[in-house]
Order: sequence, then structure tokens, then C-alpha cells
Amino acid sequence: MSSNDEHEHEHEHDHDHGHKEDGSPLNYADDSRHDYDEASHYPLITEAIRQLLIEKEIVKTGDVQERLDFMDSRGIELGAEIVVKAWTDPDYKARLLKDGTAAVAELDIPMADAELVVVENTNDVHNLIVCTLCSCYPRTILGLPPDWYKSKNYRSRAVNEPRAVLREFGTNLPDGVAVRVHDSNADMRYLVLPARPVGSEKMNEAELTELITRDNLVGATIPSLA
Amino acid sequence: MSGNHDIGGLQAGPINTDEGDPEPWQKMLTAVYGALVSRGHGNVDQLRRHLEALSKEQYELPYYERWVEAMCNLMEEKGLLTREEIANRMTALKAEMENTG
Amino acid sequence: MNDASLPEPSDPLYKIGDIVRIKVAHPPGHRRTPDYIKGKTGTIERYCGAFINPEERAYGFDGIPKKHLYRVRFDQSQIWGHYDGPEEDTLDLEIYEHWLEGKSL
Repeated sequence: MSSNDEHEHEHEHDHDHGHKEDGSPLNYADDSRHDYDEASHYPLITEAIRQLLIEKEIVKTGDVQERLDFMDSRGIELGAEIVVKAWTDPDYKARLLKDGTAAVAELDIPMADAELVVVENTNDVHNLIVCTLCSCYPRTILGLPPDWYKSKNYRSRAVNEPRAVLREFGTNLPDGVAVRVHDSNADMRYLVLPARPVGSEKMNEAELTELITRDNLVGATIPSLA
Repeated sequence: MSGNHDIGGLQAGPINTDEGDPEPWQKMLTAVYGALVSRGHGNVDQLRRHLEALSKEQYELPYYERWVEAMCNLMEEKGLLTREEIANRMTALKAEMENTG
Repeated sequence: MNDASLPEPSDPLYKIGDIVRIKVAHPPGHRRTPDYIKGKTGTIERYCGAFINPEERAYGFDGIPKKHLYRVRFDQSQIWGHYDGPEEDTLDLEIYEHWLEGKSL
């Protein structure tokens, strides 16, 4: 197949992209969790792998424990810290938007092998993050991504139906706000900097921290005072 | 579609927005994988390649289940563990559980 | 991966504001350019840096020389046949330089 013969299937099939030949949409298996017991296949295989790798000294128990501890240490705290600092310190916010990696390093938050891009929600733009190809996510800041972020339905629809997806999260945007989707498909990782809620002007840092949820930082929802 | 994973823009169903804590085995899988990478046995690009190479049926599995399959293929490729060794250990574990259960 | 001690490739080809088109290519194996964006035209939003090539690293190569990575912004209405939203809605992706074609205005 030479490149001379190649024509642009994408343009021809634009309107049909995502359908089977009979016109019905693709049907994904349910991505939601199942209730497993320890003897079920996947928990069992995981335990078998863990034991074998340790017995063969391919990994050490300490390596595994370190990672479990790391996961347990990551909740909303670091993300909220970053947001509250940006809300209360305009110079920090400017640095954060210019170079996310360097700005979070100021707070001793490492980015490991990726670079951080922080995108700001404003009166004109609402940002939404997805990784269509897998589930890239700022794990060193936010920990494990939620199931919905990793689900095939989200990965497929966040790019071409972001407004419908947002409505499923209960997020209805005012008129005049554009939606900007970021497909985290290579070496960048993203945090959405939510807009500071109207009415929060007199709140202290602890009160501001309470307003922020993980879903705000992915752009699925907007923080409010309610 | 270049692969089963390349799904941006396809029609799909509603999103289950429920928050669920990861199950213990899912966290353990994540930790074991991280340990493997930290010891130099593979990296995220190699894992992704294996995820992308899963069959259509395997790609229908949920997230962590796919990860297990891809990891098994990666470890076999690297000569670390075979599927047979893993299966044997699973049999032994199951017998142990049945004896003490 | 971004190890600053590794040699850099030659200078980036594109700068912010350049109009670029994503190559229509269908190579086998591990790539980070999704199908849905191939053949589409967008604007360079920022230069992200040079990174170890994941397309090579996925197979056990060292991924050197590094590749330049850019964020490219697209109008949603240009990507999808029936996009349900205003003209102002956009989609940003990260695209490696070898997937880009410069488009003259």
C-alpha cells in the first residue's frame, strides 16, 4: 500500500465515524466494577504474580509496599493546596499557568516523568481533561484516577460530546462559555484550575480547601458554595 | 481504528459517575506493576504497547483486568514469568484457600 | 520521559500560532496520535519540549533522539461531522513533530 494511493478516509467517513456497518453504535462492555472475592480469577492471578515476583527476587516486598503507601497518601489534599494557592496568590497563579511542573515543584510536589499543564476555567472557557488512548492522569498529585475517567465511554465521548458528558456530571455551563477539551495523549498531564466561586471572597484557606473536589480538577464539575 | 484502544470520538453509552474505592487487588496490581518498572523491567510505553495488542475480546475487559493481561504478556516477553508458572501458582493458592476455608 | 541530560534534537520546526495539519498515516504498533485527529488542521498552542520517543521506547529501544512535542488546538466543528456545540469549542492534543505538516496560509 503506497502512500500515493492513500486518500483521506477520515473525511469520507466523518459522519459515520463510530458506527458499525448497520448504523448502530458500538457497544462497550460494562466498565463498572464487579464484586470480586479473593478466589476470583483476577484477584487470584494478581496474588500469584505478586508472590512469584517476590520469590524470584524480581521485585522486593518493600518496593510494593512503597507504592501502596504512595497511593494511600494521595487524595485531594495536594490538588486543593495548589488551587487554593493559585486563588489567593496571583503571582503564583501566573507561574502555575506558565509552567505547571516548576510551580508545583515549589510546593515539593514532584511530577516524575511527565510535565504538568494547568488550564484555567474562566468566564469564557471551561476545560475538561481526558486520555482517549489509555488513562493518563496526574497520579503523582491526585493519586489513582476514578473508574469513570478510565471507562471506555468517557474516553470515547469526552472528545466529541463534551457538553453531553458534562451534563451527566450535573454540570450545565452558562451561555457564552466555550468548552475546551484536552486529550492527554502524550507526555503532558493536566490539572484544571477551577474558577474561584463567587461568594468565596471572604473565605480563609481552610474554607476554600473544603470547596474543592477531585472532579473539579479534571473539569467534570465546578466548585460551588452549595 | 488503528487499534482497540483508539476510541476517541466513537459513540458510546452513558458514564457511570459513581465514586468507588479501588478494590484491594486493583491497588496491589498497581503497586506490583510500579515495583516492576522501578526495578527496570519494562516501562509505561511497553505496557501500553501490550495493552494495545490485546485481542478485541480482551479489550472488552474492564480496566484493571486488561492491565493484568497486558502485564502477563509483558512479563512473558521479558522472560520474567510464564503464564504456566502463574497458572500453577493460582491452582496452589486456590487449593490452599479451599483447605483453610 | 524527559531526561535533561540527553542530547536534544535540532530546533523545533514550529512556533505558536503556526497552522499545521496532522499527517494521515497508519503505521503499525504503538503511536500516540489518535485516529480521530489525523488529517485535521489546527494551530500550535505551545511547544511542550523534547521527549524520548515513546513509539520506539515501547519496543525496548532507548527512544533517542528525542522528538519535539507540541500542543495543537483544533476547532471541534472542524473535527466532527455533527458537533453539538458552539463554534468556540476547541480540542487540544499533544502531537509529535513527525506527525505534523506545515500548512501555508
